[in-house]
Amino acid sequence: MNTLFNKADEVSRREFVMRAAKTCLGVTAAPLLLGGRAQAAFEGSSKLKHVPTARNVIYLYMSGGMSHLDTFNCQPGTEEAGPVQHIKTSADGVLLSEYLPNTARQMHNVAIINSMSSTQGAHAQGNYFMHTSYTLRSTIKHPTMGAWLAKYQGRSNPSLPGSVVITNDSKHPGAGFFEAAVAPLIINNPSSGLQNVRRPGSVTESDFDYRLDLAAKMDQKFRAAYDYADVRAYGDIYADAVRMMKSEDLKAFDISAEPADMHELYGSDTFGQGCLLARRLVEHGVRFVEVSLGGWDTHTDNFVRVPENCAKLDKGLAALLGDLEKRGLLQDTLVVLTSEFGRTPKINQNEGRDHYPKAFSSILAGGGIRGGQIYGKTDKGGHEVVENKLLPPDLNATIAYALGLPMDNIIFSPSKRPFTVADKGQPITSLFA
Amino acid sequence: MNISPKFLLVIAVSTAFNLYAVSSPPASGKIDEILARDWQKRGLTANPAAPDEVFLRRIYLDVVGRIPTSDEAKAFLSSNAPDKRAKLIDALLASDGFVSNYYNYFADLLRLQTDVKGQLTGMAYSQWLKAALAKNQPYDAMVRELLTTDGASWDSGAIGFYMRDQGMPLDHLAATVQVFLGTRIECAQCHNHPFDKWTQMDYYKMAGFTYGMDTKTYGIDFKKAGKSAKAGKKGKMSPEQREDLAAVRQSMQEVMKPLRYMMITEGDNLPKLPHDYKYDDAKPNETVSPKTMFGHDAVVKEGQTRLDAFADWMTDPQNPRFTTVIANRLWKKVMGLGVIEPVDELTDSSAPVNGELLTHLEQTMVANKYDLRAYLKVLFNSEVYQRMPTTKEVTLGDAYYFTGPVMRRMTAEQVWDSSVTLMRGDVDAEVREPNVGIEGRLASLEHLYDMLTSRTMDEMVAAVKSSRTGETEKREAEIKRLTAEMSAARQAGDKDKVREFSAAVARLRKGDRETAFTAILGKTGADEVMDMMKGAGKTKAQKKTKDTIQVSFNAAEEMKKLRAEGLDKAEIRKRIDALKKQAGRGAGQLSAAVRASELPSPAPRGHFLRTFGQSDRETIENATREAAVPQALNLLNGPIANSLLNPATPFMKSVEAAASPAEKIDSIYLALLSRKATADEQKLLQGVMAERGDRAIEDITHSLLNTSSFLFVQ
Repeated sequence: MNTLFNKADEVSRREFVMRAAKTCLGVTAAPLLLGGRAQAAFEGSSKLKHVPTARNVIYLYMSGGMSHLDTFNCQPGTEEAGPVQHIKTSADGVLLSEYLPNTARQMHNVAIINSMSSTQGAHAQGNYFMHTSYTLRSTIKHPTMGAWLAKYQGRSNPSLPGSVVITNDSKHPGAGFFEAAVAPLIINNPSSGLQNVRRPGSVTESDFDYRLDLAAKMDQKFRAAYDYADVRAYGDIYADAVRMMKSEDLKAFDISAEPADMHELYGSDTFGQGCLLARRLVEHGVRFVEVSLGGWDTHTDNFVRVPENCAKLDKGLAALLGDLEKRGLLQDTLVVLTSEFGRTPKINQNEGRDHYPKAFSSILAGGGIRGGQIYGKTDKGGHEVVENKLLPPDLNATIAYALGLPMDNIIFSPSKRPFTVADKGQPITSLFA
Repeated sequence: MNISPKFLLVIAVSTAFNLYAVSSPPASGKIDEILARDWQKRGLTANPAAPDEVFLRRIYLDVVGRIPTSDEAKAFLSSNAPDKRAKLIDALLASDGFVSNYYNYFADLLRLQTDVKGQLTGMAYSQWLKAALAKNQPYDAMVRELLTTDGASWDSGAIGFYMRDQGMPLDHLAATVQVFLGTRIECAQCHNHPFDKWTQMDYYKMAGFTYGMDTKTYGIDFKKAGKSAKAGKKGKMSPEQREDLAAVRQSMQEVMKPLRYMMITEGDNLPKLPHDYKYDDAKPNETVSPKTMFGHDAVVKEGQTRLDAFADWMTDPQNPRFTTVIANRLWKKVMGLGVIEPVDELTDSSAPVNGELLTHLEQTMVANKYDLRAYLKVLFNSEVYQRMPTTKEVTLGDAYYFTGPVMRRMTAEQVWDSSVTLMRGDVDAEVREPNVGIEGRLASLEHLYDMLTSRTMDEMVAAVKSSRTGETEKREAEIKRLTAEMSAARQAGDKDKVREFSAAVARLRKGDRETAFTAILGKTGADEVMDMMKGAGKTKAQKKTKDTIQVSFNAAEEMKKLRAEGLDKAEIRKRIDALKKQAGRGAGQLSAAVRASELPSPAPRGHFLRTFGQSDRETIENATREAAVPQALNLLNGPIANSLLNPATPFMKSVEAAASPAEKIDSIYLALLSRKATADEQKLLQGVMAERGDRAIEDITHSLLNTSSFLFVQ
């Protein structure tokens, strides 16, 4: 966007935007540029402006398609519920699957959305749609919410990345078409933290400084000969790297600094450890952290595998919500839990459930959300959304609303196509307290 | 003259191929004439000629994608042959390194991914691309093959071109037009293009040519399995019958699964306009017939499909953009900027910075019949290529008149492959090694396919049905029972029991698959197929890890020596431990060091290659050379520097072999920068040698690795 506009004078820039809006979107852009009441440049985008309710987001992604019926959309007494029992929770009238006993004690903080629906029924496509609000294309890659946040609001701690994703999914869309500077940092293993931030054991600090100094001397002539931004950039990133290595904030990535009872609380599996790392990172000023939990693709033996997975989810999620609350972080931190789709209410011949984008569930907690509520509804048995349907862009718009991101602002990709955060999704403001 | 045997070998190979005359082609001289006239007109001066060492490092990186080994560098620098540059260009163009390097380039253009659904098709595609480059298939023929190949991946990896965008034929067309015609039409997929002349109708008409390529087929239409049985019964099936049929299909699907994403068939499907089509020239949902978006019509000749006609139109020298795009792209790859920028956003008003030059390049491409190596040879032999790079950055959007190449950072693949060269020497030939694992798996799929197609659908349905009446039903009852027990165990909180039952259920399910296989293929056939699939799963990179690097260290031998020196036991133990540690340093990294072209495409996230900006191969030419903090962290603290210092690396051996401090310094410079140290550098570094003693070699190497002099290509 910058390179496109920097050289253009005001008139041609205005012309460009008008033309883009007219021809791409079939609307007139005049009100946007000239002020006035009807600011309808990107028709359908939410224009809600307000004081943000959340500073941080912890986004828990249930990869593979989490069964809604066996977790948050309880349908007691139906055939579709299968063998699952339902338990009471800390929120009046809110039931939960028996697989989530610890989470049940946190439900006064949680809003359940039982009316999620997606148009994408395959994993890659569904995952991408949920993360970006756009459908998967071969011609462009769209940014994820952490990248939008960094794009609009920068970093709060300059020596740490704007967002961090703890996942093994090598296809996470990350910054999409945005510049690398707003890309989330991807961590595969929460216990090993950041790669390459420590000196090798054989190099003492004085060796290290000696070598930096020597490298600078050897490079002097070359650097003087070439007046290139790229060459200067390497000077900068080495300075940044060394600053980072010596930064106090690095310890944000080191969960081994947490006491044993914290590890015990969150659980020793990757998801639990990821939640613990997420909490540390948020404490240190990383504003968007995603933690993923795989294993939800339960085409076979749903009632064996869902409870196994729920055991991990339950421990990590309940620990995270309780810990955030105890530390006074929950009010500023929006916790989101979602998945690419739900699973078929009908149990298949392999005691499994198949992909089901028509109706599924997500939850929100903290960050201004009014806990203890259930939003939206499916019919009996969880087949169809019958009330307050949300598509992935609406969920993302709700996150954007909480963070105060401008949903009606257009950003052009390098290929000059217009995009907005949450792609015209509508935030559900009634979820907020 | 002191030429290493390896260098002579390379020359011998090139002579054997006899692909090129050694003297620089006249077309190279014409580039220089055209540019000289232009400089004169604009009052510009050419950059100074590049000295041998600058040319040497650059030509290796540009042609074979890595820095030269110390031996290669020495051989070239010490040669007095007047035509040594032209000879080196020829030798490199004819070598395996060319295939490895240009594979990376085309993999980025084609968004070639091996880690996808239908991974084997992805890998076969990758093998196909390497083979096409290795046999120097002309570019137009390559494109024709990509556009028109259907069938199974065991017959041709080229089907990977369509499979890459499985289920997204419209997107695939936009990518095809961008890659081969340098034209952006993706906006027109949903509405008339806002900044160019393309209409949505143009888009759909172009898509009409490729739309018939069906990527969803298994080659066998099992989804209709049992239909004839249904017809025989007349009227509706009972719920039991329906369930039974569903079960049969499920078993069939299980058997067919390995064939998914392995095949495409060419049909005559045409695209339909979207339901919300809003222009006056047609109605929503109308079927669109193919028509080219510019240039002449694609006329279907006798015996051709419409795709054949399309491919002919695309690659015709008369196509107004096909030749321009490849000539310009390769010029950019060699010189750093295109004669037209951007290279893939051509419009009717795109203006080259030098029209005469562009015309000459296009003519050169056509005259060489799209032989990429011959075309590149023209570029590399030009004087302008062999000049020093421009010392001031060309600001984005400014016209550049090519007074020399533009300086660039190495690509991710070049940094990696250069590190591999330092650690292992010249391993370019590995690109040619057959990938036994993949070929074996492809053969097993072909075998499965042959066995399945040798039976009629009704036979297969009957076989599955009869197998279900016995074994399967018993097994299902058992699974039901175990699942119930499992619930009970969970209620009781007995985790071990739950796990035990869960494992038992998984075993039974696997048995189910085996039953289906056996029913359809017979016992021997099923065993055969399953064995093949199990056994042949290793990829090339995995196969290599074991035996390529031998870190030589013989503890007994060393101990004998130390004893002879009369050292005491404790001291000997200490020395041996130190030696062991030294021999083992970075050994893991060393053994994983194969060239980028031999790794999955793209390399996994977090890999060195991705850190340095290798394309994720999601969108076209998505690689970046941007600086980023993790790169510095990697070179400062990562495993490369450490591995480099392992005594078994060719790098350390050459340093070890050098006698004096000055020679050791030179050998480090020769290995990393392909030149000897200057007098000033010698002075600085001999000081370091004196001051730091044992640490000096490590200091200098580690430091030099962390300079821009290393990362950039002059």
